[in-house]
Amino acid sequence: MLEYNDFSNVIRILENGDPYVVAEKPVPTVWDSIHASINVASDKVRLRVVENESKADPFVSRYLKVFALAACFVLFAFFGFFALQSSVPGSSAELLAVGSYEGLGSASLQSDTLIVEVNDLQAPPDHSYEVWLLETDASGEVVDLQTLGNINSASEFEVPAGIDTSKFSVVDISLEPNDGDTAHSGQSILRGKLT
Amino acid sequence: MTITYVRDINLEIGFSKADNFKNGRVYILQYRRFINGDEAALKEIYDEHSPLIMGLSRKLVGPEAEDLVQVVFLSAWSGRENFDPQKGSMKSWLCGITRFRAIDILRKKSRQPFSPVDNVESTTQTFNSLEVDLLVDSLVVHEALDELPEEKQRILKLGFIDQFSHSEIALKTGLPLGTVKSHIRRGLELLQKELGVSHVGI
Repeated sequence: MLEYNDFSNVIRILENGDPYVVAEKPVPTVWDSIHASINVASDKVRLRVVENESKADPFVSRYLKVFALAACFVLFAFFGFFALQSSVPGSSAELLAVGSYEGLGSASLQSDTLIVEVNDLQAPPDHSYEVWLLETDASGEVVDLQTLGNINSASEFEVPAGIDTSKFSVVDISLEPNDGDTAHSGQSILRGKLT
Repeated sequence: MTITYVRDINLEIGFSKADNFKNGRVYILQYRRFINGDEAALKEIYDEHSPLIMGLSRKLVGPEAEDLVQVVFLSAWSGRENFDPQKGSMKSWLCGITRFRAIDILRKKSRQPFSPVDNVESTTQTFNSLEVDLLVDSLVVHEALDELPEEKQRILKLGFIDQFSHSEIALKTGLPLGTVKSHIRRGLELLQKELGVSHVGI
């Protein structure tokens, strides 16, 4: 059983009376620095690090090999088709595999709709593929990102009003565990720049 | 990533007594958002606890208090998966992080070569790690007592600080001896729990 003696050193301090700590509101710049550090640490660094070090889930890797073959055919057909059409409205991006992932895809922008072609990509159990638009700075670092939604449920995504696709010009497809965390998982599978 | 769901269940079934005395539901949701990486939840926690952490930091490292507060909340953020509301309150956990980061800063300072300029300017007391421990422990105990409902707080303070016996407290408060004893036993358990969470480094 606990006794006062277990806290005797603390009691000596408390006996001498309060307050020995005076609450003090930090100046606003303290939070500003915390906020800035967090945003550098999460999106930017995480996405960058993953690009260099990502290890493919064996399941994904195997699936994407099969998928890549299929996607090649789709792509040839796709670009062949557009090559015949002399004018293509909007911009498009070829989506290439990131890091050690394998796969191919494409995305095209028609006014405020992004059409993503990745055949019938199926995620591993309890995972889904999510489409993002990334804003990068001159050095290629991600400075902001916007989700468009899960690829399982749609292949056409509405770009939210206020998202300038000349800035958010990188299409990114990530593998997301279905864990309720809405942040980017850091596992980018495919990526390409809208041109 | 996958442990998040399990942790959510833990958050549903139990949380620290100290936080329970407030609006438990709000705190459960806030902790869940915090652990899942919602920066807005960190801001809420910062708004609530930063004045105390700032005061403690001022006491421990003087002019470097702002830097310490920043390091404490960044440590809390990067180690947020280690926070378990069943083991103790957010406040005690943050005080614990302040303890370890303050000791880091003070150690680094004590290794720096003697500087006459610093010596003249420095009017704040410098503490060794034992003194830091004692200060943080007493703050954690003081704050945990403060969060208790008034009656329990009064009983514990009478016993704890004023050193009255159980029967003297019963006489003073007009409460049955059994009630006094059980309040004190549970109170001491709570204090031990809060001290425990403030000694876990992240």
